[in-house]
Amino acid sequence: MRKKLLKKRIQELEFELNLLQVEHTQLEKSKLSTYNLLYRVNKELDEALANKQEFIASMSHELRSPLTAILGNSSLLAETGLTKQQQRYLNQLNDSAEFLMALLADLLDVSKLKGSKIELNVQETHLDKLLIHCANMVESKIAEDVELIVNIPSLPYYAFADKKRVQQIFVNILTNAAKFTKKGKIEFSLFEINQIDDQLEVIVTVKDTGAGIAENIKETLFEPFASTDVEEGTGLGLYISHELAALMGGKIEVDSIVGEGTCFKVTFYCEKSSLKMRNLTTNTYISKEKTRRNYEHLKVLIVEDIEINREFLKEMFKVFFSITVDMAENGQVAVEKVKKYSYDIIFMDMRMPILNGLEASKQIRDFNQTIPIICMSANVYREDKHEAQVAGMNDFIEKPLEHTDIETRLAKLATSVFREPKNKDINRLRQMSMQHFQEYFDEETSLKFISMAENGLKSSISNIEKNFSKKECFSLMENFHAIKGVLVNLGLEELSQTADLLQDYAKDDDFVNIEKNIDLFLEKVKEFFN
Amino acid sequence: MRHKIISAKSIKKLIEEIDNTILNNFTPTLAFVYSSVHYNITTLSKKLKKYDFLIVGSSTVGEIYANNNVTEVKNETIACMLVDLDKSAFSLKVKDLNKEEDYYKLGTKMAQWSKKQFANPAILTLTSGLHFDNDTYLKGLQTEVDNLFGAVAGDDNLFKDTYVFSQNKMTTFGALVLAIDRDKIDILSSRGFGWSGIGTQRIVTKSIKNIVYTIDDKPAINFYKEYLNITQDDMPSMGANYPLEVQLTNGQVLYRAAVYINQDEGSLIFSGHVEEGAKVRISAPIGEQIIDHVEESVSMTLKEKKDFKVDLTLIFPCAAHKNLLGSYGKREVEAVHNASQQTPLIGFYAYGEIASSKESNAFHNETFVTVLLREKI
Repeated sequence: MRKKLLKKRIQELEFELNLLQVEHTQLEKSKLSTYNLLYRVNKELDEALANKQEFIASMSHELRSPLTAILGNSSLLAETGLTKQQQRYLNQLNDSAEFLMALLADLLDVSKLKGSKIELNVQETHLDKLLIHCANMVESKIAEDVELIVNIPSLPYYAFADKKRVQQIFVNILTNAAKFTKKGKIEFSLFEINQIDDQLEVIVTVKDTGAGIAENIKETLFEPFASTDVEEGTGLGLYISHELAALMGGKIEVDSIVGEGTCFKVTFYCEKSSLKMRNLTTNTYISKEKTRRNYEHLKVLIVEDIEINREFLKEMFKVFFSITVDMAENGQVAVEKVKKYSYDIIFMDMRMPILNGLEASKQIRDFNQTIPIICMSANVYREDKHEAQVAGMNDFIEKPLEHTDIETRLAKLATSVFREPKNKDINRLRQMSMQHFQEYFDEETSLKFISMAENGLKSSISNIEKNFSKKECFSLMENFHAIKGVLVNLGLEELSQTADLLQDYAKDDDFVNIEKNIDLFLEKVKEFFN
Repeated sequence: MRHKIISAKSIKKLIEEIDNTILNNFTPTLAFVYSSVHYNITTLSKKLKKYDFLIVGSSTVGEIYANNNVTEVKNETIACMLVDLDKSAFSLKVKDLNKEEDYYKLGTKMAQWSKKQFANPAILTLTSGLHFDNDTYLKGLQTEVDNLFGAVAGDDNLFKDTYVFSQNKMTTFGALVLAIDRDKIDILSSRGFGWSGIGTQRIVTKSIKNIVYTIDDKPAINFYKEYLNITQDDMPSMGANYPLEVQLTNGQVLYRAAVYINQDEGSLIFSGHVEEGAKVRISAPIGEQIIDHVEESVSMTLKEKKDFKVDLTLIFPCAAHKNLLGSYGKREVEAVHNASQQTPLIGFYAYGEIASSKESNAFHNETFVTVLLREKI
């Protein structure tokens, strides 16, 4: 009897155990399904967010084109002898258009930052001059009773930094200080600069005696659309500055007391250049040259699908450079025109119907390897620049085009910088380097520098080949950085840009793209020794 | 390659089985012995002293083996695989971390030793000690050797003592290195993920090694509390289930499990380094699809090397996979076994995984590392 009871109990327990096991399996399955649900929903939200950002980017881009035309034409209109009243209306029109343009630029930046699509365009920069330039840009916005004190010491070296983005950070912060400081002072100081190996840690402060920031606002200060000014301002500037500083490996800290003032402390990192006190910056170069260059004789082809932009560019070339340009409304027309007529330079839009700028450039390169083709695009992502380079274009201008953008390219044309042949193997690298050095030194010194750089190139090529075979992205990153420096010194701008791109790929562990581009790059560099 | 897999529930049984195998005319050159801390590892190590083949030993969070379509995921057992790979292709060393030595130095010494053994070595390394700084140790190893793989020993989720051992030496705070001659053995490795970042990306504004003090200038503890409302009692299991997705400043993405909360400092202590300036967000498992991801990591690796005929498969999945998948864990191992040409497979669930190839950082959490070995003819 006892045995029977025991057996029955065992059967009951086994049944319960089976039930528990089934339940356990169901719970496990349910747990995994919940995780799967979370993953899917998150993915959908990510995609929705990306679409939203894409939409903002695309709308900003589309709105910029007509706005460019408004701004351009208003600057042309200003040259036509207006009455005072007309001039006042025009100024108001211009101010509004400029505000709208700035807003669109901010929106585009926010969208790019959110999508991690901003690419730093690092170049040799005179950091102290750049900071002083930021102060100069904001000076006019500062109230009369406010003193602007700039404490930026001269630096005896150059740094590799993204001029446009560094400027954006400080103009935003200084503008903010100007807006909220009605009396007292704004101090703009290079607070500290520390060198760690070749890396520079730069700390800059903007200290004002303005209204200060309330605690509740401080918490959301660096979030988009969280303006400190409830009446005006988009609230995007500080967010963009904060994200850009982070992109440079740094941060922005804020210390503020309501009624006493605010101090923004910006920290960012950049590399110290090995070059000392040698002027390579384009702007200085242009300002030196522009007074004596005459571009009247140049034959320029503008390829742009939007009529109003075409007309604006035509006027811009005429008014500022006395050039009468020829025009094409798409890539196909451009290719036909280049076959038929002789041009000195082509300004080519990237995205056009019928035949886009990339395809048109490729076709042109099939029969003309030397004519400089300048890409014009509102998309300045790394991929776009790379595509333009691969298509055989020589340079890249971000839309909307400004007077200095065009002048830089025309000046380069005048000094033969664009004479490096595209896609074909005519070796003129040495002549280009020689020309480059002779802008600064005599022939003997130039030859000495070229010989020194030759050794650097050889050793870099050998290191790249060795580390490429080992698929060592980290070492390749250093090798591309090294060869980039040598190529910059040699004045081989395009090759140095390719090295920069390869360095980025190596930094991202993107071996596939390195593999795609390395052969052509090394082949071109080796032409230097032919 | 000949092999023999043994699964034992006592040290005595293991030794008996090994002896029987040897008596049956099988002369192993190398053995992998993965044991639960349910058994006395010191005794186990001593009992193995009599054998003259190399022994790679570790304590685990679960033992795994597979062969001929039979896959086993065990708890509280000792799993052993004996193989007769070319003896001259392997060399083994176990080292405690001396008080006067730092992790980096231990790594460089082990790497230099490996380079002395073979001109072109790869390293299988297992480490022990809950607070062992694997990131720094691996950086030391990477000074000389770029092909690294292995794992961090476990202890059945007890978080007390972990062990690595051979027949001559055992350590609860050190490393075992098996140097492999790549001129004689071909090696492929893959790493499968199973977690995905969710929510907003933030920036680590203050961290020192594996301690994160602030995220977006706010105490790091707030970041986890906002999402999960965790306390120290929930650690380390919650930390492993919802690790931090870390995008390093060089772009590489890895996962780090939070293991400890420091309420006073407001900081979080992670199982590996979290770089200051890194972009982080919380992550969650992707569900059953983990199995597909891991399987795909192996099949893609083999697809790139079409003629690679695998002799032996070593696996090192994170213990988080076991905790998450439960009974589905066996299916994950089966998928890997099928993808790796159904060759003899052995491994264990670990507290951390080691794998480096192209990536600059070799220490990982939450991943599934698979290593495929082939003897060169």
